[in-house]
Amino acid sequence: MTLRRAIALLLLIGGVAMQGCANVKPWERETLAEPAMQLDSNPTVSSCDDHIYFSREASKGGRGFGGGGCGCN
Amino acid sequence: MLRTACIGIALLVAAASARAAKVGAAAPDFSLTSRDGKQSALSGHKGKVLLINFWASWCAPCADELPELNQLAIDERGKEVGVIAINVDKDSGKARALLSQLNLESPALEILWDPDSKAVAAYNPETMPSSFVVDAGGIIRFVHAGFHDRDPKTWRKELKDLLGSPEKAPPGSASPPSHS
Repeated sequence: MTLRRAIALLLLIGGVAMQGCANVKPWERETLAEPAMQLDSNPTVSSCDDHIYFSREASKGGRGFGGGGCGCN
Repeated sequence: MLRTACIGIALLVAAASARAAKVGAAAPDFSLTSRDGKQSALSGHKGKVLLINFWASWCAPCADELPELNQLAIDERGKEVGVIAINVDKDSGKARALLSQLNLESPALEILWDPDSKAVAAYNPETMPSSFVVDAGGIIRFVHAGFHDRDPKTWRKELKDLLGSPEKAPPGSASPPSHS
């Protein structure tokens, strides 16, 4: 009974917490694309890494070039 | 109880991953304002093979792709082909600034504004930029997620195939979507 209550409580807390989650569509990521939104301690190194990925995989953006988290490409 | 919960979760996942515009489906119609302030609708391009692209000023690959799309529009001029670039910015000023920066103040491709996200929501692209190649019958034949160096060559081949025999063109996705 106690376990059931604990599970119910967890589900309730999880349900309430998930109210804050939102699915941001690709075309709604303008704010996320701003450089200030980027979780990156060293943008220069990341930029070099991106260049390497571009050279090897011929794809652009997605991790720094497009801005923080815009999800471009 | 558990079964109901599983079904509920499955339905939620299915709803979240629902895509409005798929290969083989009819291209959703739209009516948007063009750069010169006129209304332009998909239905107004009936009988043409179309490449419909969605782009934004804040999307870095879009800035690489737009000149290629404009070149495509120049190359396909005089044929029954339309190249439409739909901008999804809320503020068209930023988009105009980017076009100016790219020397595309008077582009060959058709630029349309979608500040209310009506058209883009109907097509529901997986990523920015995305392009939909639509045959003369208004059916989506190819979807390109993102922009890759091989894309300009692929667009030309797809348009040529659809112009040659629209009814025989095999539906399929030309470029696998890539995610970041």
